[in-house]
Amino acid sequence: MNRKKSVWGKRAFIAGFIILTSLCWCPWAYGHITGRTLAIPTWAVGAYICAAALFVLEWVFLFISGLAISDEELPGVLRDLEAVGRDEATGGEGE
Amino acid sequence: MFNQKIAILTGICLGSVLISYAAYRRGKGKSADDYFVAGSSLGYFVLIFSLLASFLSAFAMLGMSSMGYRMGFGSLFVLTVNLVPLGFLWYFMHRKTFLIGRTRKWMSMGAPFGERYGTTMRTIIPVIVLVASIPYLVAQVRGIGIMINTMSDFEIPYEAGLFFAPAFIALYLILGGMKGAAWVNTVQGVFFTVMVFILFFAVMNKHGGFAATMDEVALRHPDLFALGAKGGKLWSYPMIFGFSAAMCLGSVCFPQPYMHAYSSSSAKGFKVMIFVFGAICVVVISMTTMIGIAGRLFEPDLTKLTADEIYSRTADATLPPWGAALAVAGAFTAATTTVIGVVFGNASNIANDLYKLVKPQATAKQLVMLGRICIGAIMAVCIALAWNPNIPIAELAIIAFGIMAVTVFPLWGAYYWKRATRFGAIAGTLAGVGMNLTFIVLGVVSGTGVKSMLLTPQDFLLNLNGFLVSFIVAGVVFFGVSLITPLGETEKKSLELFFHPSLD
Repeated sequence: MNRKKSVWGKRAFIAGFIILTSLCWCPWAYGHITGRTLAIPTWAVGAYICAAALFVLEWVFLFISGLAISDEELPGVLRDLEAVGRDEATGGEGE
Repeated sequence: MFNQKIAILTGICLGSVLISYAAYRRGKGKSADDYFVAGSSLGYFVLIFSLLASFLSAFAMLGMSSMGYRMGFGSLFVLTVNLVPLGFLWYFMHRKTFLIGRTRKWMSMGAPFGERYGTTMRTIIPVIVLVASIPYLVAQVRGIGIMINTMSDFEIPYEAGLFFAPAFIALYLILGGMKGAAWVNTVQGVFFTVMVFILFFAVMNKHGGFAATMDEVALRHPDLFALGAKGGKLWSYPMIFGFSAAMCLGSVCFPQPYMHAYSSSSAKGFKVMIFVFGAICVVVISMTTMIGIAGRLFEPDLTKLTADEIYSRTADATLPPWGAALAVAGAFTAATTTVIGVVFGNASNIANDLYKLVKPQATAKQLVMLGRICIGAIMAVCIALAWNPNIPIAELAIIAFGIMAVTVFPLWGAYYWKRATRFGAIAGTLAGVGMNLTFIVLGVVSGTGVKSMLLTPQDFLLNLNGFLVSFIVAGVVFFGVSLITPLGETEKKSLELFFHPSLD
């Protein structure tokens, strides 16, 4: 159940990331706005607002949501990965 | 003749050498791991400023102020708001780089590709990184030449200035390795961030404050505040998207995030590093862009190439001589730290990916020695290419990022798509880079120009620019070829590690 919840939680974050990224990469929703706000173009203010919203979403995902890797989990993950035999992989530096 | 500005600059360079050497000597040993990835020991403060400094460059300082000067506020989509997605993109694309890299002792960018796709891909990646890095490095070396030239009040020729920083860079890289470079990057990163703030406020203050300055620029140059200027061609949506995507995805694929993921000592350090990077870029590079926009009030008639001097010229016009020297030294350190990051990443790739294939039993001492030789050779090539400039710094750097961006597909496939094959990875990468190089040749042969062909939407490309077309082709070829080719033994064996349940 928890795993299912985290998968959906992750998907929700990814959907948010994609929408806000599209707004940070192209002003399709606000580029038509003319005039100036705070002395700079109003569309530039729109871009900054989208960037700020994405920044907040990233902060929640990385540090609040519990969905991103933490230092508590790190030793266990590294131990699991080290258990995967070196001879299982080829072409890498471990060879 | 004694020149105060050059004396300040020389002092900063010598200080960098000392910091680098001291940092390296503090390390426990001189193993290849210590030299190339700092023994995975860097805390998050060093990581943040080291990554920041290794990316923020002559491009971010001189290039973006030049671009702001020439093209206005649309430049915010080149290196500011468009980089905020790096917070999650780096997380998703390099989380496994960080985790598996720690386990497998990866030290180069080719390592994950080699382990997932085999030796051919591991050989191709360092060559492509090197090809893509050259225009970026040339941009830095060119920026350094311009700064030395303007800081010496044109007493030191541009060509002589090209040798100034590379000599120092080679010296402290040879002495210090990654641990030294990281500490130098950190100190210089803090320094140039502070200097950008000081110059920004000085420039705006000169014309009665930020709002008054922007009002004046808007009155004289309304095009700088508009999207779709020049008949809809400048900052059209396809152009904005092409720049934004190329720069952001190129940032994912450049060597610096790989090397810093390997160097991170904790998960928190890794997350803080990738999170803070975009925010600092938005603040610092918005300032350099707006310094360039305000520069129209100081120097209204600079040409495409001389606009690269607007950062130095506004510093001269608004600060006392020693203050201007420190402000430009901030840009200078930004350029040198980026050269460090990129040259070091390439040297590491060549030593660990290419040389180790030829000589698997190479000792740590031999690898470090080869790394040092590579640093010297790369610097020499960049100086030669920067000798006769014809493309502005910003555009040179964007070309580099656009070429690198095509490797995002095999990287994503390595970590998230079990069906990705080595044939798909090789074909997609070669198709993308091949298309970019074709557009470069086409730009020269047709007289359209390399810059226009790659960066400006072209009618014959359905109003897309060369980069975007190359990127799309790379993706289509990667997915198509992967789907029609079988998984080889290497790919099958790598799945257990790359898709281990603990990585979910």
